[in-house]
Amino acid sequence: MLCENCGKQPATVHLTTIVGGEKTEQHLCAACCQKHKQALTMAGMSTLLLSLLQGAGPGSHEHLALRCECCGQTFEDFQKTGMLGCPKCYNAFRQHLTPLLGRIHGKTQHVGRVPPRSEEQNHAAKRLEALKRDMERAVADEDFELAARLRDEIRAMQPAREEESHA
Amino acid sequence: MHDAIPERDVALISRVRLARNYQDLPFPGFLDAEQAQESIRRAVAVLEPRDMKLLAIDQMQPFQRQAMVERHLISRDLLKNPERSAVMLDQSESLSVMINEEDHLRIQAFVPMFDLNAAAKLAFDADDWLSAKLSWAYDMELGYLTACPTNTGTGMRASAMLHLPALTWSGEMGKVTQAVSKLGLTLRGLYGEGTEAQGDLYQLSNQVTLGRNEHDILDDMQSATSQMIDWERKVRVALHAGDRLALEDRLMRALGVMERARRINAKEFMQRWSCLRLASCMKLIPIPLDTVDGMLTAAQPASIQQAAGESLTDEQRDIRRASLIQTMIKV
Repeated sequence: MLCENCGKQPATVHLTTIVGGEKTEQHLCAACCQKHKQALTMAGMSTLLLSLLQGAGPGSHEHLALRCECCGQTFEDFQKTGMLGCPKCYNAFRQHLTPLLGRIHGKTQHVGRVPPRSEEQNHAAKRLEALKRDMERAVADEDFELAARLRDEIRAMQPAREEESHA
Repeated sequence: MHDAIPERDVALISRVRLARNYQDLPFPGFLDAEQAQESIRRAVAVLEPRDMKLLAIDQMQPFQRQAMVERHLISRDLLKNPERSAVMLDQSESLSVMINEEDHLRIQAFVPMFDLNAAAKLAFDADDWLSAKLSWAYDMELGYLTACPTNTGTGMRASAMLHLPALTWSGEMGKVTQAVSKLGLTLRGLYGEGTEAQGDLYQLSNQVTLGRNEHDILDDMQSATSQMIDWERKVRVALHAGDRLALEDRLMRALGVMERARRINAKEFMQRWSCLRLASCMKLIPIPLDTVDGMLTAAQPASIQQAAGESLTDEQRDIRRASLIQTMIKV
């Protein structure tokens, strides 16, 4: 999609404005958005984030009341400031944060450095995936004895991982 | 000697910053006093044995704090909550770890001129020391979790401080900004987000932190910075070829003011400094680039007061600034 202002650059900023129930959408390139919103000039990401957050209101507002059980922040608090309360907020708001992260970064899956202390967790997750694949194959092959053994192994792993992610 | 380094005419500093958060504490904006101290204690326990020194921000004079901002060792944001934040520095001041800024830890590495990989190595080393002892807020899907989702993922911001007088004066910065945003990069003013590009100084940095690994982000930055350096150089040559007298007149007038003025305020200093730096790069004046770059920090308001050892009025600072510049030019 091209910027509707200059018609030359790809539109990278999508602004939704709701005034008195009337919704208008604007698709602008970065340069025109800067002209459009003085505040964006040289301001960088935080301002961009806020404009995304405040422009990103879908029909329902139920998600605004979502609350992080760990720190008590609501999604509405986040929408006002662009700041999350604690690392657990990412889980509490994941469903709404992931699309936002996609709009900011273009992607939603981390690649890159992994802290050494979570490599164990990574390893466990990969092992779990492999076990599930093997189990499905065993079922398909009608090897129910193997499938049952694998199922028990998977069950044995899952509570441990859940405890880890709640720790 | 440094004059021989090719990118030096445009690139002043390369910096790599990593954001890290403890998995079991609220983000700094939500820490109580005890948790804030705990956050500081954890970092100190790892970094003190690595010869990094803790500086208590709350015990500094306001101008001492500001002088650290001028040297880019800390951000303005760290000073919003001085009683809860801290900074640790290594001896050479090429590595700083800000504690309880927007994130629990902000590891920052600085290297003179254009060498992002060297800065990255310093930052990754510090990350390795800390990661061996501390558990981070990390998610297999989203990577390192940060207080603001604009840093989520690698938590890495690589930036190069660039002097772009020719691009600025010729009105090309709009085009430059557009070009870099297409690459997932951004240009900001001298002291970061929301600040003016005083002295025609800009920070080029990556916007995207999620879905690209550190190595690729550094490669993007490396090639974009090289292109920007080439662009600035071409426009410098074009400006000089187009109206040599006008350009030289502008630069030499700045030298005249810097050599003779009795009072120079901070804003005027930045304008003249930019001219002086370009004149030095073009060998129009015999002042080495080292001197000009040294002046940049030394003549900032808080650094002048720090050298004086006391708080000064604007008028006193402007007088000292003029004499400081003249001493530096003469040496």
